[in-house]
Amino acid sequence: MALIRKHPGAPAPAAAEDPLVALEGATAAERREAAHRLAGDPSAVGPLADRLDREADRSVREAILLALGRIGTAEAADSLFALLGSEDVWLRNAAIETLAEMDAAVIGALDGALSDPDSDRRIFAVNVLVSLRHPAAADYARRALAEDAHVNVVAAAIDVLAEIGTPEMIPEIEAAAERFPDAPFLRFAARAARRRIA
Amino acid sequence: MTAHDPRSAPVVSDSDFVRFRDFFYRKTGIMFADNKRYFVDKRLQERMLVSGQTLFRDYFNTIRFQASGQELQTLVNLMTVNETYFYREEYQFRCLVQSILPEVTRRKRPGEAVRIWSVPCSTGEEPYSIAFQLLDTWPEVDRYDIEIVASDIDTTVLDQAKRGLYGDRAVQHVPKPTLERYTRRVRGAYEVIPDIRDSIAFARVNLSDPLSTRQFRNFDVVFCRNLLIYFDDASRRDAAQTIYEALKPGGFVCLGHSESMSRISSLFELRKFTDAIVYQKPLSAEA
Repeated sequence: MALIRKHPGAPAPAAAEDPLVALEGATAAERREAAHRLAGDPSAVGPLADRLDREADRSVREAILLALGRIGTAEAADSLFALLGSEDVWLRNAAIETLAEMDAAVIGALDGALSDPDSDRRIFAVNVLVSLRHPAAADYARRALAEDAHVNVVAAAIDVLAEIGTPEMIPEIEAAAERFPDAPFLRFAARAARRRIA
Repeated sequence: MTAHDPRSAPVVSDSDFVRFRDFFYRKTGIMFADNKRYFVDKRLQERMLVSGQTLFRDYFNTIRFQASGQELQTLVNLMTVNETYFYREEYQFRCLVQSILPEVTRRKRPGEAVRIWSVPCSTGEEPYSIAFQLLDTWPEVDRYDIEIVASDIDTTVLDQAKRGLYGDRAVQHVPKPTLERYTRRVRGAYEVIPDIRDSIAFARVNLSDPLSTRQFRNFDVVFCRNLLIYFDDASRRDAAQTIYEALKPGGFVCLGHSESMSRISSLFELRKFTDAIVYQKPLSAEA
């Protein structure tokens, strides 16, 4: 019979002494493991974000994003919001996905993200809200609805509220659509949102 | 309008169903067709009654915003059928023999080990099915050493798996000659023969902790079926990292039919074979 039993695997190789050193290691496996080890260390946000900025290997980038998400502090959220302006579509989307899982930490960083002078960044920040497990998520979308001057940010907020809004918010959604009389698609979006949450 | 009687089943309207379905799909990747309405409603109503929430809107807010995610997890468990048996999703075992192993062994010398990891293995039906399938249908079975490692986070099910005792229902899809060859009857049950039981290495593992799985490396194939649907998004990505680390470059991972690695991680390449869609760690990846 060709089946043989062996120990599940070779004994685990010894980890490098300092994960911050290993984060700059020569192999992707070293750097991934360093990122896993730093996932519980809030003081590692800076080095992780710095490495992410220079890292070319996709698997290491995923490990660093996971680590930042696991650290879950407002500082970690800030470092991820900073990526929303990246030209790298993969990195931007991965940052949005990671932020959406960070819940409370994201709330602390949203004020800054929703006030960013770049409307594209504000749209990405609004997009984070739809998956956020936090009761204040809808309030942030309402804020964008009422205050943001850019039609596409308001449209993104309406889309979010179509998912997580409640019937009491319908008048606010319709009022926001009225703020942009030259954008008929906003009224269409508002009607669609009303149908969903009424 | 009449007041809702709290003793009767809570109401799930058409639009509630659609909202829940969209939300559940985003969270789990599982999509319920319209013909599953009764199945979904029944479980939603059950959980609403248990949690004392008569309005769908309140219950929906709970599953979306509860910080612990506990109620959503309970609902996921209810909405997924956690049933295991021999030769479940048998087409993947066919794919293993017909497509995956020929590709894996092209890169190996005869006599070299082929390493397969079944995680979670639950009570053992999956790793034993893999062993049966290889012994019965893979022509190259005697040219390579085959190492099957079976892991689960639950030590109780691992103990059951090691015993290898199963009832009629668990083995109902095993071809009779296979059953006769690889099991024996023990007090009305089917017991996997010692040669096969002893050839599988059972070990506890927590897949969502990449650091605790450092000794699980150099696998050619990982079977990780119907587990990730129970995880939240972050844990799924942890698990994807663990599987990535565990595989050799060019190694394959088989997920359950409702699961998609593409929704979790971009580390793997999609491979469409005749019998199944599986995922592959790129050959160019560092070991």
